[in-house]
Amino acid sequence: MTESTVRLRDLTKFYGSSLGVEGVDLDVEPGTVCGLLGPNGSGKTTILRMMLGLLKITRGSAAVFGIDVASSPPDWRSRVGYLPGELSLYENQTVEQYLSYLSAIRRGDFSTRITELCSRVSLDPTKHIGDLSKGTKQKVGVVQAFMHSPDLLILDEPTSGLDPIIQREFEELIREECARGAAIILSSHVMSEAERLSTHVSIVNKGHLVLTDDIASLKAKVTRTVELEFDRPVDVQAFRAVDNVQSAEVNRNTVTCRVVGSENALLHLAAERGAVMVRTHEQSLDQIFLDVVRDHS
Amino acid sequence: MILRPLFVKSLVDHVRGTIAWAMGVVAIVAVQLSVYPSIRDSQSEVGNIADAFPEAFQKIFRMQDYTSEIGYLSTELFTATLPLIFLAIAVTWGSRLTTEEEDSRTADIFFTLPLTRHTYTATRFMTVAAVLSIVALALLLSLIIGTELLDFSVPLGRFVAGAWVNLMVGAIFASLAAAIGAWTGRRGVALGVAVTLAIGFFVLYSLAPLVDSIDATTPFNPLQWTIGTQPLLNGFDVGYSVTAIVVTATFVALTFIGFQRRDIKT
Repeated sequence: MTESTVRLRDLTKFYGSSLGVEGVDLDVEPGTVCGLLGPNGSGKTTILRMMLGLLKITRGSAAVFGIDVASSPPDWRSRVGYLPGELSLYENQTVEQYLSYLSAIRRGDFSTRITELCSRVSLDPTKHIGDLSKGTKQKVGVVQAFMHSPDLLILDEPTSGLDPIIQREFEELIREECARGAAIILSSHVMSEAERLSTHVSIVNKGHLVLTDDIASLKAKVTRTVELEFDRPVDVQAFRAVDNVQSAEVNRNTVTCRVVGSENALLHLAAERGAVMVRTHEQSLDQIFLDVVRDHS
Repeated sequence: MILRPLFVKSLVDHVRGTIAWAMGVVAIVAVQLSVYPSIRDSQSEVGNIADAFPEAFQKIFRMQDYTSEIGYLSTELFTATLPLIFLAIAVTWGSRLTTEEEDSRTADIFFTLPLTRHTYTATRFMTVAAVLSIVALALLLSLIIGTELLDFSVPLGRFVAGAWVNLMVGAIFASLAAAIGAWTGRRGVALGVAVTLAIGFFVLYSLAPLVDSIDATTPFNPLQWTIGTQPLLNGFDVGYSVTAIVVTATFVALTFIGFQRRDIKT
């Protein structure tokens, strides 16, 4: 059995008497992308910063690569890439100097990968960081996070300020790293992005992890709308009696059913009754997120 | 234990400030030395003027044998001017020792690199030590060269002792400011508290010869352990030097402990 790249147990942070996060249990496996979602101030960044050793843990534990982050030497961080949500860089350096400085502290030569990444995100390494726009600084942040081919990537609002072309390149980079076996934690407000990239999703609200699931089973558990079109009027009562159907309404020759779980029985009945068209509307992650947060508020 | 890239970057980032402080010290020494020949030429008149100063004034500025080379340099440079310069360098550097990355909001990336906070703190202390040593060396060289050119006859050992006590003034207050910064994570607080304490100690040190109750605090005043030994007149004071080193080491240890225990701010 593969060891989890990240393993959080009862992870809790209080700032004095004020709650940061409480009782967070989370596992992130190699080769997966965990979308960490939550409203502003919900505690996402607190979880990430505790995991990285920036914040002291009030209670519980955080292990990365099986190593307890609070009590172990920081060698494990050489396998971690981090892009913080609020990015600041050394304004007096050029991009090249900045990346060389980080490489020197990481005690490695990543020049080949840096050149490749700069080319992919269209970043001129000779530019002075102080002269760069917010979006271009974000590209520098992306390069420094990926340059050492880390086994764990922690990306907090990573596409903030990136133009759509670079966003696409960035998403491609994430898929490549995931395919290589890296574990990725993606904290994002952009639900469509999280939905496209994540294999798993964890939702944080008011300092508590309120939902963790993989995207496929999460979607299977939520309500979907199935529209069945017939060439003649049908009896809606038969559809209401089908397993997993929560409700069914009829409008002329179209029956609209709300389904939670498998829709096989419903489709079977629809075929028997001679349905001429079937349309399934899945709930987006955006809607799921809003529902979950509303339920826990 | 020392991270070379960080050490070099810390020095390079503040190289202009360091050069400016060193040049300032050299300039002040040059000006004071250049004035002395005219005092030497009219020793009795200046001596009478100095003797006519109020007793309190003479005590505050530790004026002893003002018209002699050592007495003049001790009063004009080592009683207030040079210690205040070293204090300024010390609190400026000390207050940002652990807080600079947080102040510039670069801490989140920096402290997720594979380095310990102890390594960071040790490296930053080495940088402060290097800066203070550069300025102390500039002081020593300017005194040696200046007095050689102007034909002074002060023993070299007295200048070394003078540079040493100023270095220790810097070491004590830099480590104090660093410790406050390490525990609070706030550069402004570290700077404010360290400056207030430095001024407080300076006022107490100055007034001690005039007020008995204040004089009782002298053995606990870091300025007494350093400039209070009047190094140009008396040379090295081993006992007070050891005290200064022990107190500095205590603040350094508190800095390591404080920085290890607290959250890194965004």
